[in-house]
Amino acid sequence: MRFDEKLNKVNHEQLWREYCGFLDMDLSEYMYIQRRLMEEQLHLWSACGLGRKLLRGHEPKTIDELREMLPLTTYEDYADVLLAKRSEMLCDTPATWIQTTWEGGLRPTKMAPYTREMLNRYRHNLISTVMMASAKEKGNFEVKKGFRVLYGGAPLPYATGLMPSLFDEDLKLVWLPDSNANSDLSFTQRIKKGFSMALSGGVDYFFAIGSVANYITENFSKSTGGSGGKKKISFRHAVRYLRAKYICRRDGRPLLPKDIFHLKAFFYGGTDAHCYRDRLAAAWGIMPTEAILGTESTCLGAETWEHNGMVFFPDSCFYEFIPEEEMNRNLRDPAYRPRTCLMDEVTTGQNYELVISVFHGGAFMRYRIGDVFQCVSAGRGELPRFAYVDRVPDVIDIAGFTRITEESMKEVIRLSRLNLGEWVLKKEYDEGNNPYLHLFVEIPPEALGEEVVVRRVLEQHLSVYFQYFDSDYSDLKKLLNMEPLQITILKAGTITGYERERGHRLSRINPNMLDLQGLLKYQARAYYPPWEATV
Amino acid sequence: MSGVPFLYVNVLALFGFALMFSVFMAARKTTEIRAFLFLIIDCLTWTGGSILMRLQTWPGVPFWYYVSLLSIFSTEFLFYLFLHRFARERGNLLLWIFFAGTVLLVPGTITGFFLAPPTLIYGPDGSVLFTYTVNWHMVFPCILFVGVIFASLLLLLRMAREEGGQPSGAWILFWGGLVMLAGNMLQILLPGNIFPYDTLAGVVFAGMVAFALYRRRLFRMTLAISHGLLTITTVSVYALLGIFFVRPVQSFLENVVGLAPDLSVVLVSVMLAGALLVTYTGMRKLINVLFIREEKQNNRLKQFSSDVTQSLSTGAIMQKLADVVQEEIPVEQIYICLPDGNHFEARYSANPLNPPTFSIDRDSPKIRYLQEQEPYLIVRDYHCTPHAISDWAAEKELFQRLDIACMVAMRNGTEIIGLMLLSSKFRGRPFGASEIGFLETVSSIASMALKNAGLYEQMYREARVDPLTGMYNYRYFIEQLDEQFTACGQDGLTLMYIDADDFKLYNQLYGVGEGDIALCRIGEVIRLCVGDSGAVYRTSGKVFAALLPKQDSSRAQILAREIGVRVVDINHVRERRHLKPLSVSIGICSAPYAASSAKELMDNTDLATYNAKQSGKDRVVVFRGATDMSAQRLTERTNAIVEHLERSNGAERGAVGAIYALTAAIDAKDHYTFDHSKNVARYAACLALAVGLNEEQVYTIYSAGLLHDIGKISIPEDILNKKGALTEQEYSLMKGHVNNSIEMIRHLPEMDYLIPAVLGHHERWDGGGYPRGITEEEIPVSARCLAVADAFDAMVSNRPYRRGLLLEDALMRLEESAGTQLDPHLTTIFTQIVRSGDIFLPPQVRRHSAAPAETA
Repeated sequence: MRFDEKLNKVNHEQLWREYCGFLDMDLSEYMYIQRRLMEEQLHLWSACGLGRKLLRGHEPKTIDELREMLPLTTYEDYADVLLAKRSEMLCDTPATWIQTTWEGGLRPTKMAPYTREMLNRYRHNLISTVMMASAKEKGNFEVKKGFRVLYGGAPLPYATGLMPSLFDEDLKLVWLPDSNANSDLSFTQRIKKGFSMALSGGVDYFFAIGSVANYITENFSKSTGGSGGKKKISFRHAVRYLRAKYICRRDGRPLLPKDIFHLKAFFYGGTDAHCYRDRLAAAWGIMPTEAILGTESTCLGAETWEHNGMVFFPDSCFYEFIPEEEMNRNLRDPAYRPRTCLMDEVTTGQNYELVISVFHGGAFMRYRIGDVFQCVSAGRGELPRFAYVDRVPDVIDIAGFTRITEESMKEVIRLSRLNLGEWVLKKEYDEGNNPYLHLFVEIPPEALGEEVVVRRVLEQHLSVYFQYFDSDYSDLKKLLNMEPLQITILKAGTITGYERERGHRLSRINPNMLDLQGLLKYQARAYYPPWEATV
Repeated sequence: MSGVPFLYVNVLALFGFALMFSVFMAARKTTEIRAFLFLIIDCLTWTGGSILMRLQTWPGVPFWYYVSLLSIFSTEFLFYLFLHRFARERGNLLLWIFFAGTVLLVPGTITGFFLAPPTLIYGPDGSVLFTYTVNWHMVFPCILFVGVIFASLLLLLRMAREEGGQPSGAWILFWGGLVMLAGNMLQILLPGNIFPYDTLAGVVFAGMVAFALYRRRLFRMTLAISHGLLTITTVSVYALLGIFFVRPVQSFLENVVGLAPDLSVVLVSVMLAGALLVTYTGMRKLINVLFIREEKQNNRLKQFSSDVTQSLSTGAIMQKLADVVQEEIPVEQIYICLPDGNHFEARYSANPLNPPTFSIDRDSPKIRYLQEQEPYLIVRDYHCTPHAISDWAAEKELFQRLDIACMVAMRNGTEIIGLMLLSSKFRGRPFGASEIGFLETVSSIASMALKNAGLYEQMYREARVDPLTGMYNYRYFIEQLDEQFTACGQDGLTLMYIDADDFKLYNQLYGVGEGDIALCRIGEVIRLCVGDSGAVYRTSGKVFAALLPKQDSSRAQILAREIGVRVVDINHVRERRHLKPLSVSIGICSAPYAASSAKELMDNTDLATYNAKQSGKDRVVVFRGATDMSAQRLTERTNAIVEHLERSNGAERGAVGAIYALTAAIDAKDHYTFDHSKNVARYAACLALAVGLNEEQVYTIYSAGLLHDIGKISIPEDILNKKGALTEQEYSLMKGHVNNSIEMIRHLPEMDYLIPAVLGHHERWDGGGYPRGITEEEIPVSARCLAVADAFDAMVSNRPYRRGLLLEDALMRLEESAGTQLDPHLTTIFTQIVRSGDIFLPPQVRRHSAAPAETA
């Protein structure tokens, strides 16, 4: 039975139990589901070509044996099979392949297979997410056939493009716009079209990654300025619009989305979404609910109406967590095998890198998706709740639009042909809580007389090559409405000198704050002749 | 009867309420039933009060009016109380508020403050009309009533929502409440109305409430409605109808139709009687149709319970369970699964075309659900629970393929004894509450029966199965041999013994563990070859028996050759080539061709096997008659017994170890006594076999023989080996060895059974022996055997002070002692077996017999 039929035939409490009943489980019940589905996946995966290849002759029979025998994996381990779409090597024939970028332009597009059962569970969990996002309290949710969704996601074959298609199988919603039907439109055009549709007929749900939601919100005034051409608008919305205009003019404040729309659910996700949380809540009059979706991982989890952290769905993936200190140790020593803990072993306040094994015939086993979460509550047998922190430290993701690694940064510098010395790149936030890239760079003494090394010029020059290297970077610029790259020029030799003084190599991507402050202090107090700096 | 219009409606309503009251008084009093009884009592006082008021009965209209009005004002509260109990609500605050409100209304009600008693208006035809004058005071009770009705509606709606797809009465109550409300509204709002809509609605309402209780299975209709009650009800209703309608019909027949008064009376009587008969018959049939199912269900349950509790076969219980379920619920397929390790294995299928070839993991979420939640699981509903998300795709596919719609656990506490899986009902209809109730009941009955049967079958199996090979054991073989011998009669029964060759050597070469593996493989080969044509047993350490009903020797011989070939192949595989090849000697005998009793069949087959061994092993010998067989010598059989004793397990092994430790001790002190003990043990065992004692007695005698002189350890060596005659004191000391032996043996565990034999081996047939001086058959047969053997060995053995007697001389001396010192019968048999060479004699004894000149 489709979900929209169930809405008519089954009472809300039963529907809530079916879709969100896992929230009432205690941790032992949750772990039972995890272990059982993992046993199924282990059975399927270890028998397929990909599993045999990665297991290298081992034959784990239990989850503990698997954790012992199979080291943590990255996309590198799957690339030869998945990039070539070698279905015969997988547990099950994929129903579809979803793609995403892999280290910007440095590597080919990543491909992730989805089995039919994965899609079924994905759909189920998406509906759970909507119910949780629209709930005012337990069981009291607002989901109806024909609700209108303002949607800021990318079309297929990207993961967000699955959402309209999957919902269509179970619940008829009106997508503003349907990204798959309007895939020929550019990102900005789609957003404009969606907003125009929302103005004319209203909107019930709003889903976008945090930065896009913020972009839409900030451009609201422009979109409602009347210069958008002829709009078809219902009488009800016209009245609501005029009333809102009048009130705002009377009170001397700008028109906000909440003046016109009464959202029933607002869910968002992605890197840096938390930066926009408060301003989005103020603009839309509803606290956005965080959800986490990924290309390799499907729909992982969502916040409830209490907004106290995300609960991970028990039937998407098997979750392992690398404690932060283990993750850092592994960053320093790539040969080190970090310890992982399970959902019933996490502790409140601790940051963890997430490791997933995708259920239902998925390809990825003990896979590091590269996201760091903080456990915001755990213990007393309750389900742990998590908040998204950021990407792993060796990758910089700004607002969900870039993935910059040390290698990709080197490549950009190489392409730009700028004669730059040592550098470190750090993700930082401005006073408005907007994320940006901060490049601390040295100019070699020999370049000082020959090249233009003015900070503005360097910023623009590198920015051009960033856009060339990674097409998403140009969207990022529009979205943030600011230059995402800022440069601080260091005295030549500062980084080397600091490293020598500290006795360890400074991480080029996202060095920790202490190191960065130390570096700046070192620059301020150190004097060394230029010839020493080049040693 | 009176001038009150439509009084019969009130009277019928009163009757209806009274009937319900009597029915529910007989039911088991749950909180819901009690609340309903309060409601019915209220309706009775309301209707009764109303009737008596209308009839203007003593003590007068106002009294009955107040009774009726108090009841009407209480109805709302009592209905809410009933709903509260029916919904199993927890909080009582509203209930108390409504109760207090109702109590507060009482003074205003009985003083006529809210509504004054009616005014009576007499019509010209003598009819009476009761007119009421409503004033604004009625607002007070109305506020309470509206509040109660509103709360009741909310409660009903909530109940209906919670029930979802499994309605069990909330909607019935909801509609019942609406009918009641509508009746009262009509009563009030219709101008000039004189028909008692409220009373009629009250009856309908009470009926619907009763139905809701029935739907919830809070009482059983068959207990409530009997044929006697039906008769009383029908007659009473007709009596009432008669009171109201006989006279009008009669006057109609006389005045309009124009019949004579006598004729009209007859016709009316016939009509009334006919109508009564038709109504009674119709009602009886209706009740049978309505409640026959429940009655049948009860009968089926009784029969099923009786059948399965008498059965100790799981197969039969599963069959009966499936049958009774299929009789009650229209499902095409039923599977029954029983626990087996970590799974529930499908063991029964109602449709032979769909064999039970699947299993369900014990760790499956469905099993957890059945353990922790309800004992039944409707698959469609289950999929709407969070438990379902941990189902494996393969499990979902299995349930889909088998079209399973319902799963019922047979539970014993939290332990699941078995599972019953039902396919979808015809046209995909849902399982009703009564069907689920039925399934729960039958599975509860079946669970106990299955548990008992399972335990019985397990014990039965364990008592009959050899734990090493998993084959039937000797005990079961003996049972089956007798049974099959009788059953097969002239159709023929063939027995085959398959004896592994040189198995002692095999064990010594590769160890007992490898020997056990070989035995298992040989057993498996035999089982495969025999297949359905017979049964295989392990009758002793390395001997298997195959019992082949209705088969003759020639077919058995073909089978035996096949077994022989396959046994040889066991160690011909690559990984077992390092092991010695295995072979078997097979003896076959068939009844009635070569045996006339089961015992003879066994003996002859044994003889054939012995011959196969004797004639070179690894061959098949068929017993055709006694003439072509050499008798198995007693020595061989004794050897077999000794070997068996040495290889025995468990407690026996401990005892044997102790025996050998003691004999070793005596060997160290006195070698003669050690040899003597061994010889006596063998002679006595041979004698015991020859006289037909059973194997256990032979073991005892052999063991006692080994230990009979153990007490000599405490006798000084100079006395033991003294060349001359013993002094009296020495003889007395020597005689003490018997008691010494007993003292030693009785402190050894598991060997007290040897004491009678050891204690009596120096007793004499004529009573002149020691230590007790008992005579003839007072002396245990084991001791008598030892005495003969002891005497014989003492005569033929060489001693330091004399040479042993010649064999024949010794035998003659024995015969002379028969009847005085020794048991004459045993002595005769012993001398016979020695002379016939059926007994093993040590070489020096044989030399005595072979070279008499030398001894002379």
